[in-house]
Parts: sequence; structure tokens; C-alpha cells
Amino acid sequence: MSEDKKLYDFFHANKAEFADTDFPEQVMKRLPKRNSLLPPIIISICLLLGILLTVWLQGGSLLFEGIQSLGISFAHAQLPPVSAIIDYLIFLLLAGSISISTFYFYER
Amino acid sequence: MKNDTLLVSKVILLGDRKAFNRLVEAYQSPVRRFFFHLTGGDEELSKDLAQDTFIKAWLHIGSFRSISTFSTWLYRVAYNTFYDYVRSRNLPAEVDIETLGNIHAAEGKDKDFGIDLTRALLLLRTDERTVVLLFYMEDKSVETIAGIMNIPLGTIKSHLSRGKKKLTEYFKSTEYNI
Repeated sequence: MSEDKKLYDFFHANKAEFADTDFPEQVMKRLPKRNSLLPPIIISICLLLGILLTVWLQGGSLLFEGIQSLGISFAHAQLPPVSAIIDYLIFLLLAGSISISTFYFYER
Repeated sequence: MKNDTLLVSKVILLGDRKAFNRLVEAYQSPVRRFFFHLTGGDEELSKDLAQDTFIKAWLHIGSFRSISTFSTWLYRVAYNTFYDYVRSRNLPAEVDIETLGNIHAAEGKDKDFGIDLTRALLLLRTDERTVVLLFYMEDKSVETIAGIMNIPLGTIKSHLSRGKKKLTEYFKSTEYNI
């Protein structure tokens, strides 16, 4: 058997494995916060596209009219039209999604 | 290896700590073992150096290019961490056989009884020890080792040859049949 092979076998016979126990946990505790660019970029692009789409489809004025209609209905103690309720829910969903996404990515 | 690339991508693009944790779990043993033998068996020091390595990896993971494997890149970070430590402490390069014998005697070991690999590696200079460990223990090719240590291939082969010669002579002098 060549010396090289003997050395190789000897090293491998003495190859110790270290159990991870709490080592990864200790490392993770010491890790500084890392800023990643992708989430803010994605949010910004989606926001911009959403605004452009809304403006292009005149969605802004439609949404505003719907919410206005909702407000007027409540003022007159009347049941608002379904379309107004839908507009309001869409607005809530939009605002909620942006808030949750922003909160999630910045808290990571 | 494909899995490593996916995990690294998640860390770089999303700052995914869970993905990095999986990388730490996968590589903590070879990195700690590398430092354990480099430091002459100092477990606490090797653990600290390994932690420093992973923290540096986290901070500089954006510099990882898929030209090499993540393992190679990580060993490069580990080697640089150890090199910085050695320079800052001005540690002695190597010990001679007589000193090693004294170390064994102080620990109550007969020099002919068993070979403590970690202690035997102290006979080698730091660079020789690094090359020998990466080659024989971690199965890295000489080309990969040259990339890790950023040293010419010819120099790596010289280190390997000298390291092998010193270890073989030591084993023969202790009549240890490897």
C-alpha cells in the first residue's frame, strides 16, 4: 500500500464528526440583521404598477365614487348598493395587503 | 450542491435566515473539524473561529459566485479567518519532534502509544497543516486547495509533499504502523 493511501486511510480513520447540538443556534443568535433589496423592490414595482393600472382604467374615480356612495348611504341610514360595498372591500384588501407585506419584509 | 445554490440564493435575495441556518447545520461539522486540527485540538478556540467564519459568510455571502462550490467558498472564508487569527496572535509556526514528545509526556502519553493526529499535525507549518488537512481529511483536490488558499498550485504541491514527508517520518520514528 502506498504511503499516500496509508495517510489517507489514517486521516479518514481519525475523521471526527462534531454533533451540532446548539452550535447553529449560537451562530444564528450572533448574526447581524441583513438588508436584502429584493422585497422592497418587489413591493415598489407592484405598487407603481397598481397605481398606473388604476389610473389607466380610471379605477381611482370609480373607487372614489363607490366609497362616496357608501358614505352617502350610511348618512341617510340606507343600505348601500352592493357595488359600493365591493369597492370598499377591495380598498380594504389593497391597503391591508400592502401593510402586511411591508410589515413582514421589514420585520424579517 | 444544487441544494446549496438554492439556499444561498434565498439568503442573498431574501435574507432568509432559515436557509442560512440549514447551511450552518450542513457545514458546521467539517468547519469545526478543520479548525480543531489547525489549532492543535483547542475545542473552544475552534468553536469560536467556526462561529466567526459563519458570521463572515453571512455578511459577505453576496460575494459568492457559482464558479466554485459553496463548500470551497466557505473553506476560503474559514482559512482567511484562521490566517487573521494567527497573524494577530503571532503563533509559532510549528513544533519539532522533541517538543512534541515533551507534549505527549506532559499529557501522560507514551510517545509509542498511539498517534494523536491533532498533535502530530503540530509538526507541520501552518500552511502545510492546512494543505494536508484539506487534502487528506476533507478530500479536496490540489486545484481546489490552491483556490481556497489563493496560493499557486506549485506551492500547494510543495506544502503537501513536505507535510506528507514530515508526518511519515514522524510515524516511522514512533514505530506506529499506519
